[in-house]
Amino acid sequence: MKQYTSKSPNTALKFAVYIFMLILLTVLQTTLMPRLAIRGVMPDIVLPAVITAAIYCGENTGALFGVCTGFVLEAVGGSGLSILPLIYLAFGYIGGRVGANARTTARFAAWCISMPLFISAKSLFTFFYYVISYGHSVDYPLLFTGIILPEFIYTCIAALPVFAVTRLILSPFINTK
Amino acid sequence: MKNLLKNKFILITTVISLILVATTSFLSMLGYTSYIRNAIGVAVTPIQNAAEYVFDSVGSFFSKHSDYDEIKKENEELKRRIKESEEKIYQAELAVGENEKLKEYLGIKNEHTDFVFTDANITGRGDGNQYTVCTLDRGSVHGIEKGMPVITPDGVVGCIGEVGITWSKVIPIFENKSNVGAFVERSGQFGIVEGTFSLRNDRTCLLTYLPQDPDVQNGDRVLTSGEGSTYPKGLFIGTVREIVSDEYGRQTNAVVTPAVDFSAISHVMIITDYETVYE
Repeated sequence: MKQYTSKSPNTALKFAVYIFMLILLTVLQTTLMPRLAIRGVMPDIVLPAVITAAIYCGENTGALFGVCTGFVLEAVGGSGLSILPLIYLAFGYIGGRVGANARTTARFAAWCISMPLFISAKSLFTFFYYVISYGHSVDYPLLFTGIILPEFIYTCIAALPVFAVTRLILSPFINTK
Repeated sequence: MKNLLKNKFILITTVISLILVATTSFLSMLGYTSYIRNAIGVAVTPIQNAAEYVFDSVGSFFSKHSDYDEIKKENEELKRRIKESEEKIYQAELAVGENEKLKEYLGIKNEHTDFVFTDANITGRGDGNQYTVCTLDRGSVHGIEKGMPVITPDGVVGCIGEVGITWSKVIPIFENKSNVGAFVERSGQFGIVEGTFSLRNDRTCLLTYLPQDPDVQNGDRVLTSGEGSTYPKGLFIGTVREIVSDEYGRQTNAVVTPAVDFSAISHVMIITDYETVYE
């Protein structure tokens, strides 16, 4: 007799874990991170989590997790006019491709190499947001030294602990092939 | 690129996301809040509220114990007594602080009997470094509408920029989008307090559109003028910190330090209605 095994409990658990991660990240980003901000600049803990999920769980998971996190974050703490979900979707997809092209044993190395590039890309988004929002009144040296550079440094510092926690939480769903 | 075009899941997700982003942004530009944003806000606000409470408690716990450590180092003999009395002092300080805050709020309510207030707690702050917004635990079900002024007993915080069912967002007065009709209390000269890019990181704003050779000095108090229909007249905005000229030297402006310490506030009042006084 043929044995049938249902995948639904595992899938349901996976969804539950991702929703938990999504809410946890959103709440931490909007409540704890503003308390850790130095001169009004805070680290982005969502980006390292999205990239970790993408590299270890695949491009589809990364992109979906990225876009959902972007929407929730934008809805809870954003100003209403934001392309953050699309940015995180793109990061999730690219992160997934990076993970797919790296050997299973070299994923952490891939993460370490690609993370500063993703953070730089996010900083570029912050830069363009300011240029578009503030137009001619942008003080470029102040923007770079007061916002872009501190955001890059704080996010780099926060990335490794976020990676460890995300990797731990998502460990049952990580692709080993 | 080939991989991207072959991946139907990514293509569908991207198209849906584009539609949602476009719809949300379009509704936001028209001054509406989409159902999706509203639903997410309703679901996450209570969790944010709980997290704020936890982080507040943890923060006060650590600050209390760091103070205690300093005292212990200074005087080992009083260690046990300090520990006992510190707990009592902490509890008393909490009670006194709460009492003072309530007195202040009662004071401002008595001072402005024509104002209708709704109390609100701050449940979250902006998610990124691009904009500063505070999320409040009051929304359209509590009668909150876009543009309502938000104050504390110290002065003006800002105005409501977006309203959900159970939450709303405040745009602080130092943000770039903010413009407040104002006047200098001592000289009576009118101007506009606005947020600028270069001052927002310092949480200060600029008093502009002053007359030629304005009578403004450092330390002058700046109040709302009531012009522009958002803020009632006479609310304290802040004090003049510095007199500056614009880049062409044609206009004299004043840098204003807001009376409210934005990083310290946790409780605010929303003015839901007030009588306009015509003079």
